[in-house]
Amino acid sequence: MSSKKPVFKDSFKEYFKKLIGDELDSFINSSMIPLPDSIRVNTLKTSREKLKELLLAKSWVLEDVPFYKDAFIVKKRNQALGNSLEHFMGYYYVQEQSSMIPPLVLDPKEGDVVLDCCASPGSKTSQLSQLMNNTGVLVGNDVNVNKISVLRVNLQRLGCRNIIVTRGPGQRFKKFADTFDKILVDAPCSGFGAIRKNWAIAKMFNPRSFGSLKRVQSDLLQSSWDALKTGGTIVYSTCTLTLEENEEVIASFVKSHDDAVLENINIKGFEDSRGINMKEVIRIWPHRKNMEGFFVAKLSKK
Amino acid sequence: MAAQEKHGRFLRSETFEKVEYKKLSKSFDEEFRNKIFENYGFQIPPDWVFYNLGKDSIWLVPGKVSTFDTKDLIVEIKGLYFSHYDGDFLRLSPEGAQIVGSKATKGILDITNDEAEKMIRGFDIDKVNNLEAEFVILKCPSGIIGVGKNHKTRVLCQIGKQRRVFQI
Repeated sequence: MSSKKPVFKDSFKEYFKKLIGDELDSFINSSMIPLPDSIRVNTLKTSREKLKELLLAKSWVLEDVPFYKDAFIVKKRNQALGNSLEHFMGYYYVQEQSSMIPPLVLDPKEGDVVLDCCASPGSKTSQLSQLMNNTGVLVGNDVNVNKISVLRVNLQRLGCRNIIVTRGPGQRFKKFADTFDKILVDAPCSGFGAIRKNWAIAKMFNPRSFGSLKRVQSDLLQSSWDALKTGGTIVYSTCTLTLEENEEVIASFVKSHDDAVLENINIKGFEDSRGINMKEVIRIWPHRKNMEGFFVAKLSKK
Repeated sequence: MAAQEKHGRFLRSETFEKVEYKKLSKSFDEEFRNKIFENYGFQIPPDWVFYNLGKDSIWLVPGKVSTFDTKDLIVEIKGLYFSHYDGDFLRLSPEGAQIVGSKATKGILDITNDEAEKMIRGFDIDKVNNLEAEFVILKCPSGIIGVGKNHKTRVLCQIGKQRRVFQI
């Protein structure tokens, strides 16, 4: 991360002041603190207990992630997370805590046919594969050629074998009518929840881009909806905190689809992290939880 | 996800060729299974299906994945890269080595964690052994890291550059 502190434009402050009022200073201050290191145990290759034993033997200090038993916060380590033998062997994946939530909400089962329509770099895709215990079919799609090579390496290292990686715009999945049991739409977004990870994002604030992003997000949601089986579930997530790309996308989608039901998300520890005028969804503010900002909504098809 | 990808990328991807996966022929599949058994004493379960994806690379593709209709999508990969095999030369991928090595009865070379740390950084290691396999499965106390080319006194690193760890 650059040593320069993030630059927050006046328009950024005004925008978020409207959303969180007096908490703005706290939000901005928290954005300057790097995120805690966290890892997800890859249960396709090892167990929580075995990995914990190996890392403790190397004098790492680990803390449990309260909402997910197969994850740890790394409080102290003696080498970079991506350079250890255990990382090489695919025993864990370096993943931010917020990013572990969408797959948990989607909750795929063994044998399901699942789509992750914006899959790179593969954190959530590999977590889905893990939750499916390497069974069923998991289609991981991405549009970006360069990102797909990273996705391939990650899925290989983690030993995911129930996967098909495809390349192309996620909108193409509208052709797959009634095919998938569960779909994750981790949509492209402005990324303002990830300022703690990349300070440069802060100065990119431009409300004029929200409209075009919202169109792409709504398109992805619509094509995924077409590909979803009746009775199936879609989880929509972003790592941004704007109203336009989150609650507004979901509200307009539910309004225009009689068969869409906005489900209440219940994850222990997130009861107080609700959306703006939308109590069913999760909205994580980085200054309230020590995590990346995230938005997660769950829709089911009647 | 940040939103760098735009429609230019979509159009570019259209021009790529579709990947051709071919199921191994019955005789080649049998030969491959026999070679694994001969080298490592591991009997591959009969329900495992292997596909070839160009240049002698063998992929383990579960049945439901292999039969999924991808319509006109550009498929990058299906399943897990298992090994290189050209009818003679057999080199397991690190994941293939972990799968085979967990039940192998021979062809396994025990190394220390320090030696494994060197290996994943691309270094060869000196190790005297009398194992027969040309490519031995490397097992350290933490687990299996992959295979190395066995020269009886020295084991050569076979970890692809893309997978190596570069910082100490």
